[in-house]
Amino acid sequence: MTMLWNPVARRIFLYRGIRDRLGTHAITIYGGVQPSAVDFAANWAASYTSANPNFLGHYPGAVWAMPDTNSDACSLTLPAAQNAVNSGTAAWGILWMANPLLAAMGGALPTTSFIVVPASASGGAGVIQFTSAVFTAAASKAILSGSILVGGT
Amino acid sequence: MSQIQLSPVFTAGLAAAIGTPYTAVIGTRNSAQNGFIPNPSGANSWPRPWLILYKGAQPASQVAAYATRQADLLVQWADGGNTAGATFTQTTNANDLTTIITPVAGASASGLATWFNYFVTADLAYDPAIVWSVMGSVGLPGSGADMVLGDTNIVAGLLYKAVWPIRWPSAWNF
Repeated sequence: MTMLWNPVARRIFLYRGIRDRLGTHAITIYGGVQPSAVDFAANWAASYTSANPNFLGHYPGAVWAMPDTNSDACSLTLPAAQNAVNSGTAAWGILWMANPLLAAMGGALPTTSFIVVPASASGGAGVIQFTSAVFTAAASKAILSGSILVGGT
Repeated sequence: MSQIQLSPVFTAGLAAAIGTPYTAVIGTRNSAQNGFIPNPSGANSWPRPWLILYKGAQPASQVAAYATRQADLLVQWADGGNTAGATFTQTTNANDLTTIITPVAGASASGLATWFNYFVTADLAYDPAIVWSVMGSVGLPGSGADMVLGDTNIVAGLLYKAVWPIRWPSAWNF
């Protein structure tokens, strides 16, 4: 039988990990199918740099706030709006445990410490949410909200 | 179902973050500031961890485990609750592995240990909204069980100590 972690244990686990990396982080938003973390790291150069058309936007300067209890979510102090890099529909993103700028996103993998999360329009299932999930190249795009609340059984 | 995936390096860092006892925040037993073993001092106060071995079939939820399976309890370790000054300790291994070590406790009943429940709470009130818990199977070496014991045949009155390597998951549904 699979080992069962209740939601509170999951939050302890994830929040402690983020807590130990508190600081200013960057967020990158992509279109397309959400990959595994292993695939993302292994295929960064071929499929996930800013040269890829699914690379929609990049937001440095995000700050995650640690909740006081495990019934609350990790919440995001919103980074500044950025101009979209490509056009497309936001589907997933990367929460970097570092704060690389957009200029660095065409080079080597900024850090191997990151979290792959879903992204969506407001009311969807995204950790990162936008008023509309549609990105238009070169147009300013702001993150509406961000929160992590691990649940399930 | 949406999923969060942690990179291997992020997960490896968690072993150090959680595997190191962190100063317990008394009064906030459900705080993310607490570690997985939140009361390393051994003081008989909360929050503190419990590890229980049971016989019989593993239930589907932690709530059912504690509420309905008292008759199947074989050994119970509680930080600070078994031997004066005894505490749970943990060592951080490479990658995503942490080993939890209990104090010595006497078995309260005899039987074949088949599953465990690890949880952190103030007491045995076991409020699922605030208790964090992990439940899994118990078996012999080579069985593939979540917790491996050299001998799963528990005998009432004998003393037991658990050395439990636990591997942290790298993906969560939410």
